[in-house]
Amino acid sequence: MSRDLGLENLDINVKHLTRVEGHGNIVVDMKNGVLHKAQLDIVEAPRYFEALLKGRSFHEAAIITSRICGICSLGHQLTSLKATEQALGLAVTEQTVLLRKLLIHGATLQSNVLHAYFLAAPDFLKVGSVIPLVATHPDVVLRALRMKKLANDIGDAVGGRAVHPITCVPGGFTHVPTADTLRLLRKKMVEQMVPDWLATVETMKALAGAIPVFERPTEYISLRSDGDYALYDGDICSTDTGRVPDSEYRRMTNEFIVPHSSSKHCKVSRSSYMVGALARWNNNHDKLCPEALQAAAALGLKPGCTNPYLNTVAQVVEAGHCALDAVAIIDQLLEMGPRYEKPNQEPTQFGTGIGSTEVPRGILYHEYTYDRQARIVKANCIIPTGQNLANIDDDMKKLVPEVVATKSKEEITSWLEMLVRAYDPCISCSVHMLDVEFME
Amino acid sequence: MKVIAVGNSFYGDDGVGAAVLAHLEQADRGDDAPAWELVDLGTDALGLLEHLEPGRPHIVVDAARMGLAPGSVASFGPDEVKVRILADGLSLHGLGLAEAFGLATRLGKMPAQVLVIGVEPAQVAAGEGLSDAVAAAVPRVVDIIQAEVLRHA
Repeated sequence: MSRDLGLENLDINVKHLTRVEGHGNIVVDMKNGVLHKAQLDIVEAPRYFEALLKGRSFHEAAIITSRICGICSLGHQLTSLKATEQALGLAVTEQTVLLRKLLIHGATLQSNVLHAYFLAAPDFLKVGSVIPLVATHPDVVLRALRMKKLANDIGDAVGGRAVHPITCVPGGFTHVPTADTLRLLRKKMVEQMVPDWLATVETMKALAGAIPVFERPTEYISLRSDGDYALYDGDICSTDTGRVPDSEYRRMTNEFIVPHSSSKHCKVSRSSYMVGALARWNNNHDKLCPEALQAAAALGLKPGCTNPYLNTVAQVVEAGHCALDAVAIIDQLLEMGPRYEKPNQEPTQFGTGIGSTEVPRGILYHEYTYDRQARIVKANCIIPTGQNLANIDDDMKKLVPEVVATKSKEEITSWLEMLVRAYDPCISCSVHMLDVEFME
Repeated sequence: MKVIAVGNSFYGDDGVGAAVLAHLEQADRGDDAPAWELVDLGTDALGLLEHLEPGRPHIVVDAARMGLAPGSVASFGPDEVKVRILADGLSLHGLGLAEAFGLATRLGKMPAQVLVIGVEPAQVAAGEGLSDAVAAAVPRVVDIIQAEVLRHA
């Protein structure tokens, strides 16, 4: 393939218009070898939830935000609880923090695994979706579903139910899993999840040759903590500028409006930055458990990685850490002896609080201001995908000129789609209705 | 009988499934009424795979774009319609019931008796509450489900 494909002019317009608002279109416009446009157009539902939160009591905020989306419900819920607890001065116990960390491990595991198997693997195997893989690789699909189910079991055991957990409330938990429940969960994690994860690493290794080679150094931002691999809590950490407390989140997101997206874009030290598993890897690889680090070495993932396509590999590595650290947390809970503690719901102040948590796609921020009746007067929510949008555009602007001489339009389109998928953007959180056609 | 609702009650008529479940939960049923299990799947449509039990009848309630008038109710088996694959393929968020049915069928996990009750939405956009047309359809869906439960008892 060469220039005789006529690719001095390249016009790519991948439309993903389906049912409703909230889908991304990839647009590339190149004329006479000059790139005029390479971007992901986002039409996202407006910030409806911020408006919906106004006037709500502190009991309701986490319930409402957890329903923003089935994929990210736990992340929104915990981030919301943290914001509320800080605003109202509600301290939580060590057991509450451990249970929440266990929940985050389950949610991260589930999302990372589904992403690798349902979005990335079909690309690497050059099939359109996961469905054809049932015929060609049934064991792999069944493994993915087994891992999803077991990750859900964590949510069921701790959260009362997996998708929109109900036991997790401001100030603690309304219900605590029994020692027996935790022991059973531990057994499943050790006997099923960890072996399945090791098999996942092998699958990823076999597919790694299909991962595009593309480098673009950018700023990587994630939480970082002095203790564990930061998912539940930490300072905001940038590969460019180091650590700051999460009270500086507005400066560390710096939202701005662009014409092609109804979702705001973000930048800090450069024109864009990346959040998510790869950013966490670059900032916190030293905090991963030894098994996860071994997997990273086997998969060729190195610190300071600048290939965004390797976000998927970072997710697989991180999934192992979540599985193994979940076992460690269960052991800690069992040693303490799980016991019911009344949730601390007596506000000691009424003000503003910020919650920041690493959800699968990156840092999620919620900020609430409460009045003296413990009702929300102001809410702000910055999702990871909004933070990644500028970075995706910058990746595209570097990628297209690099490959235009050597690849066909179809290949470039496929690489661009894979790039967007590597970030697993949250572009349609919302609606799950069927679209059917009656057969004659 | 297992009754499974899919959808997001914060997105207008996509919340019809949850509204139907709320009606069923409050239904005045006699002591000897046949047992049912009600599942609110929320927006985790792929989670359907964990709830389908071969050998047990299922009803799935969801908003469905069928080209009918808003509030229209139609019941069908998943094999009677062409379910368009709606996933945009760009994100996990796009995976939905179409993929769940597709996977369940390919994996041999699809129960013999699955009835989908689709309600044509009038508005699907961020916001609480159903449109008038869809709210009026809720009791009709409840009646269909009650009749199905009796038929299978």
